[in-house]
Amino acid sequence: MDEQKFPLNNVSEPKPPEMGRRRFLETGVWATTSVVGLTLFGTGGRFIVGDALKDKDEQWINLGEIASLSAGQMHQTAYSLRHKDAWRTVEEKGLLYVFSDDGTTYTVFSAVCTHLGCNVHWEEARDGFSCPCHDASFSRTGEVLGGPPRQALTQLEAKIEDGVLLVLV
Amino acid sequence: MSIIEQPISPYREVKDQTETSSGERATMATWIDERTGLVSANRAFLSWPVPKYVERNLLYSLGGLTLVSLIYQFFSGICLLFYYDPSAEAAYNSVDYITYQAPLGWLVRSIHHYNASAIVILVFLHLLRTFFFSAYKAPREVTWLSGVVLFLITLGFGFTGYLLPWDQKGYWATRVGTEMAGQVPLLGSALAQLMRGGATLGQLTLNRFFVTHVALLPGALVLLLALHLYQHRYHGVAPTISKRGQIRARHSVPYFPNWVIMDVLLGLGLLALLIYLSWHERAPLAFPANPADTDYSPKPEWYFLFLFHLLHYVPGRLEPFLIVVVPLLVIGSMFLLPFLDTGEERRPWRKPVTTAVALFYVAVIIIFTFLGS
Repeated sequence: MDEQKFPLNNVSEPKPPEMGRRRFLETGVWATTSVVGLTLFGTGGRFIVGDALKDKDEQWINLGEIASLSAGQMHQTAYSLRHKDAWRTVEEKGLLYVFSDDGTTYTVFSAVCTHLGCNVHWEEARDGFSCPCHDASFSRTGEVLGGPPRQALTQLEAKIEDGVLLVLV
Repeated sequence: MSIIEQPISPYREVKDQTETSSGERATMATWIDERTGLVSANRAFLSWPVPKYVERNLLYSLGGLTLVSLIYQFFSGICLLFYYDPSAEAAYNSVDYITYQAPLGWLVRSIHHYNASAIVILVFLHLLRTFFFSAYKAPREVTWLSGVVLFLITLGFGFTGYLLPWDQKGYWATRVGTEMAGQVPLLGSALAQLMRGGATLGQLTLNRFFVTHVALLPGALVLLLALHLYQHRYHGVAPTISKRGQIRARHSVPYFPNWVIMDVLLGLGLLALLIYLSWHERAPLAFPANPADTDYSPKPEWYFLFLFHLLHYVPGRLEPFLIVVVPLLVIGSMFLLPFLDTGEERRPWRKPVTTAVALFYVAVIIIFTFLGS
């Protein structure tokens, strides 16, 4: 089959570059363009990255009086906190699981699965957590029992002050 | 004494060969052409002979239909921008307003929703047709490579698009998607944070996905599409692999209107189908994004489902391999294909290894998509 070419035949061929002044100007054009390009990309790149790589600001939140958190039972607790999201101040929502064996020390887990970030469920019958996304399962103490996660559930720092449970999120 | 300006456009000679039926139209066209050169350039671009085997052949209309489908997507997307508010507080309400209150909003949004799936299917089929007809072989390597990148851009549109309503589906699919990026060894955490604009999903994530969806990807798509179409026009149609086609290749027909008419009619059919689907079932809108919800079971769009579902079967320590190495291998092999398969043979049944690898990819995608659904 004949290959039909796009007609660009009458575009004149560039002459070979002359040495000296023309070559100098050509190099000047490319050098200037490169400097401008690098400046723009550098500035734009830093601007776009912004504060994206900064760690999340942690803060203590109040989960209520420990008297309301009965020992021996897993408590699912939703929280919301005032949080700076770029130029906005928003109510950030989250979910935690709180457990205490003796009513004096408390273990608090983030509900976020360490695999791909879905929220885990507490299953009383299995005495453990399960994730709906890829059937991961965790023990009551947060250890991985099955499925793809490689890390235990994230345990959050907790303390009791004046009978109130505080958690660092 | 007057100086007569000579035409410098490379397309000018074509203008002199064209006949016009109406004198007035010819005058107008000549006037525009003398000032812009666009009329003759357009005619030159459209008036090229194509082998007769492409005429009324659905397989050769997949590319044209994809282009028509992309035009629908651009049009409906621009319409949606008139109402959409890209802020985490208002995005959901603006999409809700589009769907339930704006005049014909349900239709525009549903067309955009269903057409997104249509584009993925059409680009995939077009890619398969090109592969099985060995149309990637020299000298059409750049056409193939630009096509592969266009396919990836299409998937990028899908990934960035479904966060925009800021509903449960979009929120959780993006959370899972960015966490998957976080599994990349060494760079994963930084990559995920760069995608999200911070440690958690929020306003900056929505901004990033929005600007990628409506500015970066469309810009890249237009540039690559121009390159793709120019390469297609420059090299012409690849040789056929069928005997019947070879007989028909002895005759040619003009690209416009003989080939284009099929694309236009199929495009009309596609539009009818999109309107029917939109009327039958509006584009879904889940509840507003709620990070504290444990009842919602996240699932990505169907075209990412195979990858999402494959993770069920992979032990955790092998996950980076599935998330990084396998896509790199698949995409890498697509890029390298025209440089690896350099033989004369174009018939897929005479190239069992290449064909078997492609069929394996397709089978894995189809099987795990169905299992995941």
